Amino acid sequence: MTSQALAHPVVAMGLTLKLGGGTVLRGLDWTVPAGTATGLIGPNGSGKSTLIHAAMGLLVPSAGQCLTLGQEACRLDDEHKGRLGFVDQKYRLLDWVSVEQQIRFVAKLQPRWDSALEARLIDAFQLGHQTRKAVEHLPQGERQRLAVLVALCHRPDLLLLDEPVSAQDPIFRAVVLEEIQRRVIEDGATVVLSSHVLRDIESCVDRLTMVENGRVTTDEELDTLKEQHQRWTLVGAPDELAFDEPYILNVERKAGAMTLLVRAGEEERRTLEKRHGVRIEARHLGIDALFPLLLNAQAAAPSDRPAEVQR
Amino acid sequence: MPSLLQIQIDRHSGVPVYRQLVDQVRFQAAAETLAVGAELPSTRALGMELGVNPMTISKAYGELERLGVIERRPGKPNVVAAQKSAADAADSELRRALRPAATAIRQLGVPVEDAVNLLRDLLDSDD
Repeated sequence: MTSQALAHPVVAMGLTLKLGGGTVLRGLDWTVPAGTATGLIGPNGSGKSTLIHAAMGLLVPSAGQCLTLGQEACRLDDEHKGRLGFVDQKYRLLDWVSVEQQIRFVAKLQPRWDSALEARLIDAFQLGHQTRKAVEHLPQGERQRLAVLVALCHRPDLLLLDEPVSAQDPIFRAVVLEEIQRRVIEDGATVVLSSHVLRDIESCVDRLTMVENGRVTTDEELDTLKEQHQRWTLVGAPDELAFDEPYILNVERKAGAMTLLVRAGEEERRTLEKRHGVRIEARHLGIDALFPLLLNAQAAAPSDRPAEVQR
Repeated sequence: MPSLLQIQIDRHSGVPVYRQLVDQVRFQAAAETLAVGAELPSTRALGMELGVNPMTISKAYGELERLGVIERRPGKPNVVAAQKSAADAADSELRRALRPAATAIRQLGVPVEDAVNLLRDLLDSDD
């Protein structure tokens, strides 16, 4: 049976993970649609890396489960492992061998290895002059690019990448992200990549998953999030105007103009115009304005989290 | 094959990517820089060119078809459809709305002159 047509290459259900006495993932539910590139974002320590590690099968759930390519992540068989590519922040590489040997070692393990792609990536990632160098002597940036190269060249169905461009300058970041995105566009691969800086990865993701305090708090197409959030400027609004619409996330008054950040669309805008007799100009929100809004919206929502019980 | 489309996608913009695509193709079709019948690239080819997920391109093509800007043909490239001007579109919309009224007028045997006067009255009234 091939799982080529699997609709959701990663599915987490009630996933709970306790590490070093603390609970990192708290009954997390998450599904990743096939053929998409998902940006996994959230504050440091929110559980992004732990979630990716659980999906890679490197951590065993304390409760709930995580299915990767349709199999329990920590019990993937070899066939399924061969369809998975991953990079974690330690870039699990063999330190004592040369770059060339490292690549040959992985190539031999992967029946689907694409030598033409390997040659192209050595060139694009500018690793050609380093092939004889020992992996342990590579600068951080080159080491990370090597880790991405060995994760991509067998054209995996699913790529799980934990901060894959954190050590790159802006130019290489763009090059590496483009190569990752090519796997989605050319092969229909599914990609999950984490970053705590949305701006670093926005060029290649179609979806955003926000992890906060061990739970998924936003999981949506980036286009949809952009469509849902707007900046409204009110013209001729009296100062004392007050709002109770739940979709208004932020109100700012400056020099006679009033600006609202909203999760709303045309219909709400017209209703509000009529209700208060004002004219509203709607604008899209840039991605830099969007990110804190997603965080704030969750912080402002009434908490349904049970108090942590110390045992 | 280099595509005919001159499209610039700004990922950092707050405007959804599929919306940027729809707006730019629409504009080019209206300005006739894209001729009627011109073939559009496949979702994958355009995706590679723009660095955009083919699913997003497909969503944009779907919206363009809904708007009557392009014609989707199963198994063949999409093509630019004959563009309706805004006035034409409004005209056909109005025609559709008025057709039941025309039928009613005929069935009730109201003289054309009276019906036209009645419509004039309705247009002048405020509600």
